Amino acid sequence: MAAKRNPAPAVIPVQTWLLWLGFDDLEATALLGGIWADKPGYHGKPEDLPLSDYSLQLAADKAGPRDKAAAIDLTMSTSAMKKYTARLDKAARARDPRLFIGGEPILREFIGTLDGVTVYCWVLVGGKALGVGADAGPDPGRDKSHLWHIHLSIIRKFVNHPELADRLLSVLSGETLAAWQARTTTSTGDDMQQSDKLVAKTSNPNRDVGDLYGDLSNHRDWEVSPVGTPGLINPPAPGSPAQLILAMARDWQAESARQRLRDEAILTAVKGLPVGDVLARVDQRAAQLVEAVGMMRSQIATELAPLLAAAIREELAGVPAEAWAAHSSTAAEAAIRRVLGGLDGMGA
Amino acid sequence: MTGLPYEAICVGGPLDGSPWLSRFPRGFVLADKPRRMVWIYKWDGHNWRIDPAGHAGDNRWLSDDAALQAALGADFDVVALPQAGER
Repeated sequence: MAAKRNPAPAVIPVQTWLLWLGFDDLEATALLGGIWADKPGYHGKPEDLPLSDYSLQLAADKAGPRDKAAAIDLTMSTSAMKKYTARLDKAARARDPRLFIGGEPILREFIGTLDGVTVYCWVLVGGKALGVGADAGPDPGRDKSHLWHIHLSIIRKFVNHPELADRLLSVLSGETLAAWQARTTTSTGDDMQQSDKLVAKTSNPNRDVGDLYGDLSNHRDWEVSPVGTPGLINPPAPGSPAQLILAMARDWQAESARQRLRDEAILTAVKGLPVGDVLARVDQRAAQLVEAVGMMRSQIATELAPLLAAAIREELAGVPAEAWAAHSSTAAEAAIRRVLGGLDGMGA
Repeated sequence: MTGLPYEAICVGGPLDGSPWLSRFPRGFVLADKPRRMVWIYKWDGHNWRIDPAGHAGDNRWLSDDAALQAALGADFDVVALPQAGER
């Protein structure tokens, strides 16, 4: 079993490392043959390569990260070489969807052997530039080291794609396309149909993907259209949180308009008046407000004082004279606390 | 040696007498992972010659870390024994 930690994350993409770990689990005789190397081609980093390098000619290769390698070598027994090369070949020739994302191949090529004697290479894209004669096809002439190791050139655009390792391991493991599709449909969405029921539990057990998109689209229309726009489908129900928020916004808008009118009236009233007169009027109005507050406080005190005194008298009525004399201050304080207790939370 | 990659006859070990191709000039590490055994072939000027420093004459126990370092380095190729896994 291989060490689990990516030994060089700066140059080895996560997905490439996951591919190796997965293949190590899959094939008992497998060893890692290499990923990053300071040499031309997909093992190299674009930042270290000349623009003329063959791994930087396709648009999809130019779109990849400049600091990552994009190839892996897997060495294994001869029988394993034949088995895994054959699986890759079958998938590539059939244009298996696992080897294509958005219609683009995830591999530039793979090299191995189908018979243990002859090196076999299949180019998935960019073949004409290599002399293949077509965009995809076999490309003979690769060196004999591929009799003992399978080389995968990963299109640089896809080296960090989160499905890369899973797709390649699915092909290498011999998993059927149908099984892979059944396993990944909900996670990849590639083959999702609008009639598919939602996997997650919702208030409507029959809600499907089409319903979800319809609801989202209708809600979007309601949110971006002027209030009251006719023809909107399934607007939020009266009393729903969305409608309540709308009502609050409309109240705020109305109050804001009223305040704006008040402000404008004040500005109109003072417009043209000497600044000193305006400030004097502001002071006068402030004084009136202070006076009104003072009168309110006085009125409250006048009304509450007799009630407070009566309550205290009642509390002290049962206190013996000697106790009152000996502990007058304590008794009075306790009585006052009982009266005020309900008000200030300090009751005895 | 015939230039890049480097091909020569192996001397000693499981590949004795066989021509072999390494991508690195110093040699290659031959590993039988199921049996956890390793042989190191080095260039002696004429052949890929087995390193005699192994614990049982020429072989060694496979170290995953050492194999990984070799694979990520630029001195030795890492090669699976062609008949690995066969009885």
